[in-house]
Amino acid sequence: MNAVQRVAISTSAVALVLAIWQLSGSLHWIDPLLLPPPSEVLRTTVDLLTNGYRQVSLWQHIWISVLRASVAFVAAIVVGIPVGLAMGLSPLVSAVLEPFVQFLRPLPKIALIPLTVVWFGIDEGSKFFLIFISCFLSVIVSAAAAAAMVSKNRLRAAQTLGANRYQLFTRVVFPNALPEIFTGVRLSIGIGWTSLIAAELVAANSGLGWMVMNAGTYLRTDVVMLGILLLGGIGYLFDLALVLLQRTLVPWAGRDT
Amino acid sequence: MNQLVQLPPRVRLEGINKSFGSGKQSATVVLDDISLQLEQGELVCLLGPSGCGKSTILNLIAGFEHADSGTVLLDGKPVNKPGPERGVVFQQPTLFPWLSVLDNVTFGPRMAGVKASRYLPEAERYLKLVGLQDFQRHMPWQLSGGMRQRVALARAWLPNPEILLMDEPFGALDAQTRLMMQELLTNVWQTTGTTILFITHDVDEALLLADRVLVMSARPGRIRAEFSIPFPRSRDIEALVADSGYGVLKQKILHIVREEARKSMAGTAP
Amino acid sequence: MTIQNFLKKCAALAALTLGVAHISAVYAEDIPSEVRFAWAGGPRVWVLGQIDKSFDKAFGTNVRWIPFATGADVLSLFAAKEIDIARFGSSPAVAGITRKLPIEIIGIPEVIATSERLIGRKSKNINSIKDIEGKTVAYPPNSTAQYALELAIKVNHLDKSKIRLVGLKPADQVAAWKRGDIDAAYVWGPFTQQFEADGGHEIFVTKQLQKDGFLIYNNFVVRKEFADKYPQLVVKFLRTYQQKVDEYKKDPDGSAQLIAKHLDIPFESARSVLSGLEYPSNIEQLSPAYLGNGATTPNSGIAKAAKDTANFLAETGDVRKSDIPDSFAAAINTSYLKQAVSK
Repeated sequence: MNAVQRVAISTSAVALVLAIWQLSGSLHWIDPLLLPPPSEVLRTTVDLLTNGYRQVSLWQHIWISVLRASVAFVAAIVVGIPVGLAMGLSPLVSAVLEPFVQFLRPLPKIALIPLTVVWFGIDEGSKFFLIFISCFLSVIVSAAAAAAMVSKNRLRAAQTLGANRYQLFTRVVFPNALPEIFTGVRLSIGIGWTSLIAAELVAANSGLGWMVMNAGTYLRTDVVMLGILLLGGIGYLFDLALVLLQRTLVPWAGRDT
Repeated sequence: MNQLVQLPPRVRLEGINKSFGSGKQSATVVLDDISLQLEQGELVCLLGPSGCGKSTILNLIAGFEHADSGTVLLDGKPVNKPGPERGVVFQQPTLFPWLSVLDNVTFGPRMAGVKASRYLPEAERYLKLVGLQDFQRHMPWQLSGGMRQRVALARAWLPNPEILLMDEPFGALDAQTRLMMQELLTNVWQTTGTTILFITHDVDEALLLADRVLVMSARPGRIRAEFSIPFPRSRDIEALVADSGYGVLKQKILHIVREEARKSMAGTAP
Repeated sequence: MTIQNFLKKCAALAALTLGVAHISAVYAEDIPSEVRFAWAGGPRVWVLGQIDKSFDKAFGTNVRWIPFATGADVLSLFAAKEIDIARFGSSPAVAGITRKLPIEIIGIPEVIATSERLIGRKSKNINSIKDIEGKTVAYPPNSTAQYALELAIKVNHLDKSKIRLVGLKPADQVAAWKRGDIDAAYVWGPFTQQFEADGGHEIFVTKQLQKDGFLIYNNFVVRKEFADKYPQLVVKFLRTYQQKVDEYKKDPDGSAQLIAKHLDIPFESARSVLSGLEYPSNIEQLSPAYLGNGATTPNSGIAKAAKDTANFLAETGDVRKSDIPDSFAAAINTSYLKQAVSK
C-alpha cells in the first residue's frame, strides 16, 4: 500500500462513518437528541461562529483552552524532564521519588478536583494544576526511562574519549535520551489535553472543556458534539506539531546506529 | 651502529586476578594470574574462545573495570579510569547518532577544550586515512556498517592514544568489508606506529594483522600460548595464503584455540 | 324472598362484583417493580412521604429515591430513562422540554419564594443587590437559582459584564466560600444557612421577582413513557402528595421537625426552606394562574412563565432559539391533576 492509497482508504472510511451517522439522525434510527447528526452539528457550528457560546466567541473558547493547556505543558516539560533524568540516573533520587510518582500517575485526575478547588481556588491556578500534574508525571516517567537506557558502550566510548561527568550527561546521556523523551512528551501532552475537561470543570466560564460540560447540563448535545470534535481535532494538531518538531530536532530517532 | 634502545613496555599487566559474583563459593574466576606486556608499536592479537576473558583484559586496560588483584600499568603508571590515551574501538561502532561524522571524530579534542584550529587539520588527516574525507557532514545513519566502523576508528585514533584497544571490531561486518578494514587498519597503523591490542576469535585475521598472537585458555582465563608471527610487512592476504608457513602456523594456533573452545563448551554443558 | 333477603343478596353480589372488579383492576394495570423519584436530597414536603412510605403504599410497589445535585442532572437522568418522576426547577425543565426530552409537566408543587436566596458577604460590603457589581457571584448551573440571579441582574438594570458569574455545584460553593473565592452565592438551603453562619447575609430573595411578573417554581415532571403506561400511578402520586401538603400545613413545625430528624439536618434549616415555598393545592394548580384545566392551559400562568424562561435562556445562549416551541402548553398534561382532584 503506498501513501496515496492509504490516504484514499482513510478518507473513504471517515466518509462512510459520517454518512451512516447522518442517516441515523435523518432517519431517526437514533434519537437526534442523543446523537445529533453532522448536519445539525454543522448548523450549530455556524451558529456558534456567528453568535459565540454564551456571549463568548468560539475562537475565544478555543484560544483559552489552548492557552491553558500550553502553559501547563511547557511547565510540565521544563520541570519534568530534569526531574525525570535525575531519577533515571541517580538511584537515590529514584528511590525517593518513585513511590509518589507511581501512586499519583494512575490516579484519575477528576478525583483530585475537590482537593484542587480547596487548595487553589476557582481561578486559573486549579486548572493549571490539574493539567500540569497529569502531564508532569508522565514526562517524568518517560525521561527516567530514557535516561536509564543509555547504552553502556556509548557511555564508555565517551569516557575513553575523555568526557568528564558533566560532559557525559550533557553531551551523551541527554542527546541519547531525546528521542525517548520526545515520545514521552507526545504521550504526556495527549494525556494533559484530555485532562483539560477535568480542569475546566472547576468553576470556569470559558474554554472548550467548560463549553462541553455546560452545554451538557442543558442537553445541548449538538454543542457537546461540536466541542468533542474540536477537542479531538486540536489534540491531533498538538500531536502533529510535536511529530514535526521531533523530526526536526531529533532526526536520528528510529535510525539508531 | 647504535643498538636500538630497549624501550619500556607500553602496557604491562602483572598477576591479574578477576572474579565475578559475590561470595567465595559462587564466584566465577574469569582471569587467573594473568601477566602480559605489550611493547611500543606492537600489534598484538588476543585469541580465545567465548567467555575466556579476552574482553575483560581489554576492559581492565581501558579502565572500565578493576582487577581484584595485580597491576595494570600504562607507561609504568597504574590505570584506574578510562581516558583518551587508551582509545577503544568496540564491535558496534557506537557512534553518537546526533553528531555528524566530523563531530563524532573530533569528539575527544572537543571535550578536552582543544581549539578547532588545532584539531581540524588532524581530523582531516585521519578522515583521509580511513577514506571518508568526503563524508564529513554525513550523519551516522546515512553510512553503511563498514563506514561507521571507519569513523569509529578515526575517532579513537585522533587523540593520538598511547594504545588502541580493539574488541573484535570487524566481527559484525561481512567478509569483504572485513578484509578491506583489515587492510585499512594495517595501513593506518604503519603510518602512526600506535601500539594495538586486537581481540579476535578469527585465526586468519590474527595471522594477517599481528606481530604477536596470545592464545587464551578457557575459563579461568590464562595465557596458554604465545606465537610470534614471522611474516614480513606489508602483508598481502593472497600472498600469505600461498605461503607454506602460513598453513603450518595456522594449524598450530587453530589446534590450541579449538582445544580450549571444546573445554569451554564442556564447562558450560548443561 | 323478602326485601331484606333480596337486598342482602344484592349487597353480597355487589361486594363480590366489586371485589372481582378490584382484583381485575389490579391485574389489568400491571405495576412496575419500582417507581423512581428524582429528589434533591433536601427538606421538601414530599420527603414526608419518604418517611412514612405513603407513596410506596399508594402505588403498591417500592419507591426508589434517586438524588441529584442540580436540575441539569435530572435532565441527564431523564434522557437515560433512569427516573420516572422528578421534582425540580422550572428553568431546567424548560431547557429539557426545548430539547424535546419526552417529559411532561404534571404539577406545580412549589412556588419559590424565600427558599432560594442570594447571600452576600458582609465583609465585602455587599448589602443590596446593586453591590454585586464588581464582585464574584456563584450559582448552581442550570437551576432556578441561576435563573433568579440572572433575572435579578436584568430587572435591577445591573451591568452583567461587571459581575463575575461562576457556575458551581452547591457543595463546591461551600468550599469556594470558605476559601474566600466568592463574594456571594445564589442557592438554596441548607447551603444558604451555612453561608449566613459564615459571614454572609441575605440580600435578595426570589419572591421579589414576582412583582415584576416572573414566576419561578418547581414542577413535578414525569417521563411520558412511564405516564402513558401507568397513568393511575401518576394520579395516585398527585393525590398522595396533596395529602402530604395538607399534613404539612396542619403542623408546619412538627413536619419540619420530622424531616430534619430524618435528613439529619438542623431543624432551623428545614423549617426555613419549607416555609420559603408556596404550596398551591391541586385544585389551585388547575386554575389559569397556574396550569389551567386543559382548555385554559395555553394562556395559563405556567405556560407563559415557561415561555418567558425559555426566551431568557435563549438570551443567555444556553438554549437554542429555534428549539423553543410556540407554546409550552403541549408539554403540560393536566389530565392527571384533574383525575386526582375528582372523586
